[in-house]
Order: sequence, then structure tokens, then C-alpha cells
Amino acid sequence: MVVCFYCYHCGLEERDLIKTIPSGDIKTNRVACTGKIDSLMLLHALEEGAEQIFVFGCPEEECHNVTGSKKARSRIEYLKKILMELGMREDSVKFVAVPRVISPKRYKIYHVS
Amino acid sequence: MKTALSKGQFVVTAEFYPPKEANKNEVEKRALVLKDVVEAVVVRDNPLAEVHMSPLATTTILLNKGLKPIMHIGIRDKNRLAIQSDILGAVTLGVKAFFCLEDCHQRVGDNPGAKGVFDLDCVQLISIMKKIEHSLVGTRINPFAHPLELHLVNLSKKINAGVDFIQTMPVFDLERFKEFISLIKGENLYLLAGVRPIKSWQALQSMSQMVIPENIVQRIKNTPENKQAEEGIKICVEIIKALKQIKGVNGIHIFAHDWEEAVPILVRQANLK
Amino acid sequence: MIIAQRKSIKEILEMLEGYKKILILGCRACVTVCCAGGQKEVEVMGSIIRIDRKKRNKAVETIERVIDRQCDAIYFSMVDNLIQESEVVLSLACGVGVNMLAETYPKKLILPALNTGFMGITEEQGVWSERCIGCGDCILGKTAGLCPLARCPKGLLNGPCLGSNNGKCEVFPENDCVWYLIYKRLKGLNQLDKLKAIIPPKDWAKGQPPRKIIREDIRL
Repeated sequence: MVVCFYCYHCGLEERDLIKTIPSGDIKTNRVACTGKIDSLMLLHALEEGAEQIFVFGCPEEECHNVTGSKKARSRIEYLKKILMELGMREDSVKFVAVPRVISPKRYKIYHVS
Repeated sequence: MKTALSKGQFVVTAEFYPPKEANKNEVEKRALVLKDVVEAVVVRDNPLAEVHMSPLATTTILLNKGLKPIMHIGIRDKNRLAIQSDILGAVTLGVKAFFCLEDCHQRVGDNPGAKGVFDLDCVQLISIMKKIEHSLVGTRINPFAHPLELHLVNLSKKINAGVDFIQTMPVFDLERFKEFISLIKGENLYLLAGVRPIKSWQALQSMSQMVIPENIVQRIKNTPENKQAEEGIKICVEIIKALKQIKGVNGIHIFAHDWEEAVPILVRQANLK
Repeated sequence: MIIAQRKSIKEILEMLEGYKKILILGCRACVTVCCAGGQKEVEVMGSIIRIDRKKRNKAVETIERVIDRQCDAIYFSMVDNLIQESEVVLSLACGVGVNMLAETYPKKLILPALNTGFMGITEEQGVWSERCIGCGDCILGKTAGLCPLARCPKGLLNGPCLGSNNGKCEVFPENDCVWYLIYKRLKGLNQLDKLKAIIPPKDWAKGQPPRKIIREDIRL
């Protein structure tokens, strides 16, 4: 199962995300800002069976709430250390920066951090 | 050495690192290089927080070879009982000159997980060392440290505790050194200015903590590699000659523990004997 | 405040290997403030343990609770039955709390999830540093309220050391030299003579374990 968290401002819609997973085994969670996301939310997602988690948020310089996406990244980095100690893949959780204003043609291109 | 200093002689001492192995021959061989060249040597106690042969054992060998030791007792590795025990042992073997400084922290050495003792600091240790009758006690100072007032207050405490002489960290910048001298003139103690011959451009890189004027750096840089040691000696001799002229400087301390052959060359070229 | 941090996950999971009913017990005092053993950390710990066991197809039951303090046995009453029913208690309190649990429940296996560090302050969110080593003979009146034993790596009572320069510590260059800070403060207070006074060797008899303080006037 793929679990996605995405923020209100990064210009992605739920249908964009659902399209990317052919099997349809995807769970989406919209948050006001990725700054809300912490280790516990991500760990719960993993407990519920997520094999891959994406956190879609604004690029660092474009975060609507200034430091939200930066915090999300730093918390994900911290969680990666825990994942490695658990013997899980470090990239089970990934932050993906999505520019705020995107054209319909660009939504397929992701800047992977 | 006490006599020489009190007579107003320009005294020369050298830094001595004991070997890192149990090696009597090495100590004896090196003693012969320095004997009759310097007045005394400071025998260091686990310098750079790396394990070396004990200064008490080393001192004993040096005494047998006719070299006068000033025994350094570190504060990092021993508590007050062990320190006093070492002092008693040293005195019994004929050592009356002692040295202390704030040692390198254990984390920079070869046993970084060791417990640092620091039961006594230098001011307290100097008081204890001075309890030995007719002892000669020395310490070290960085004349280029900032703010100098902080270090001079600390020095005044060491003087109150009874310290007899201070050695400075190596001097390259004579103007700044003269400023330091002007601040401590009138203090009741002997001063030995530190000098360190630069062996090579590479060696200079490891001396980045020291205050070295740009013209000296350039002199080494612009000298071909095979002549750099010679130039380093030349620079050092110039510095020694200049220090000898400064009122308030009672001698020099040569930091050449990793280049001992340079010591007799410096002494000869600077006309110190 | 006591500052602690979580042990490595590897170490904690190894300690818990084989135990199927685990009480994860947090504390609302110091370890909550330093984000090591409070409500959040207890929940994270629970999740980590369950993920680990699920991955290896091993069963586990985790119970998560937080009590006010673990350094006073009186607070255990709220979770006494849970402690009795568990196979092991993973305590997220400081070492004091772990000891208290062990003394109060001599037949129960108590395991520490944290490495207790030092007595210190919160410099800023996420950064804690040492301020007191509990030497038992406070000299802060002589050093303008700043402790050289807690902040000088060489523990000098008559500092600074030879390597202190530009107000920075020789051993930890990112730190200020505490003797420089003491000098600045005393100078500002016009009390530089305190810096000039020699502080004698410490009486470590008051500063070493095991220590106890008894107030007969307060005893019942």
C-alpha cells in the first residue's frame, strides 16, 4: 500500500495522486501544511501496512507557512534513522517537493529530494 | 638551572617527549644529543593526551646520563594522591624542578574514552610543588591569547601560588610579544620565551594555531623543499637573537621534540653557549 | 532539569526480545521537557515495537501509559495493576525512575529506554546543555553564577586553561570558554577580585556517590 500525505498549497489534487498508482492501493491524507506531519503519523501509517509513504509538500523556499516543509523534511530525516534501525528501507518515507503553481502538463514530473 | 637564572645567565631549555614504547636506549640516545647543549629539559607527561613512557621513569634515565630534567606532572591523568606520590618519588631520585600546565583533554588523544581526572588544576598543583624545599616550579602561557587580561589574572594566581618561571608558547611575532612583555614587566618571575624551528611547509600547516607573521610564512613557502629546514633554522636563529635583546626575557625554551637534531644547531648558530 | 535521550532502537529491541506483554511507561516531568520520555515518545516507542514484531511475525501486546513522575513510588498506584500484569516494564523515565520502579517492584523486570545524561537547561527548542554536576559544594558565589565544573571540560577551578582563546573553548571550539564568560560577568559586576582569589582543591567527599541527605527535623 502507498500512503500519501499532501499539503493544501502544493497544487496537487487527490485524483492526481490516485492516477499514479495503477493498482489503486493508495491512501491519501490532505493536511493544511506538511509541517503538521510528525514521526507518529508516519509510524502509524507504516503500522497500518504502508510499504511506501510519500509526503508531497512545497519546496523549502515556497512553503506557504514559511517553515512547514522544512520541518517536515527534518522530521522525515529523523524518522529515516529509526527506519534503518528497524531494518527497513531508508526510502520507505520520501519527501517530494512539488512547486506551488503547476500546469496540467507538469504534474507528472516530480522533483525528488 | 635555578642558579643559572639567579645569576642572570640566558638559559636554554628544551621540550622532551618520552618515547611511546618502553625504550631505554632511545631516551639515552636523545639525552646525548641534548646534554651540554641545553641547561635542562622539560620531560612531558603523556603529551597531546597520548600514552608515553612515564616522566618519572624517563627522568631517572636522563639523570643517569647527566641531563637535568624539569619533570612535568599532568593534571589530567592523576588525582592528588598519585601526583604527590610522583613528587615524592621524583624528589627521592634527585629531581627538584617541576612543571605543570593545563593538559590537552583526553578526547584529542589515543584514549578518548578515558576518564579525565583533573582533581587538581595548575594553580593548586603549583602550591603543592612549592611545598618541596628549594624546588623550582614552572608553567606555560600563551602570550598571544585573547583577552590577555583573563590569562594575566590567571598568571597572577600562579605567581601567588609560588611559580618561579614561565615558558611561553612559540614566538614568531616579535612586536606582539613585546606588547606581552610590557604587560608583565615587574612581575616576580623568570621568563623563557618559546621558539620553534619550522621544519617544512608541511610542518607549518600543523602550526595553524600559532601566531605567525605572513613574511615568515612566505619565506618558507618560497623556499625549495630541500632547503626549507635550513630556512626554518635560519628564521628561528633570527628570532632567538632578537629575543635575547628584549629586556625581561631570561632565556628560551626550544620546542623541537620532533626534531631534536635542530637543538644543538640552533644553540650553536645563535651563539647561546 | 534532568536531560536524557532515547537509547538506540537496536538496543531497546534487543532488551525486549522474547517478551510479549510490554508496559511502556512515560513520565510527565523532566523527560517530557527534553522530549525523551513523554506522551509523544511513549506512543512512538509503542509504534516502533509493534512495527518490529509485525515485520518478524512475532506477537506483542503493548500498553502505553504516562504518569506524573517515576521518582516517587506514590505515582505508581495509578498503574499498579498494569505493572503487575505486564511481563516487563519499559521505563521512559530517567535513571532515577527506573531505579524507583525496580525497588518498588522487586519481582518485575524493569528496563530503561533512555540514557540519562545530565542536569541542564533548554538552550532553545531541541537543544539542551549541562549546567550542574551536583558536586555537593556549590561555588557559584565565586564564579558569578556560572559553573566551571559543569561547563569547563577540564573542570578547572582556577581557569582558564592555556588553550582558551578568543573566548572559545580549546576542547569544544563551538562552545564559549566558561572562564571567559565568568571573567566578563565578574568584570561587569565590578567583582574581578573574585577571579583573582585562588580556589582551593575541591572536597570531593561531598561530590561522589553514593550520597544521601537526611533531615531529622522533617522525619516522621
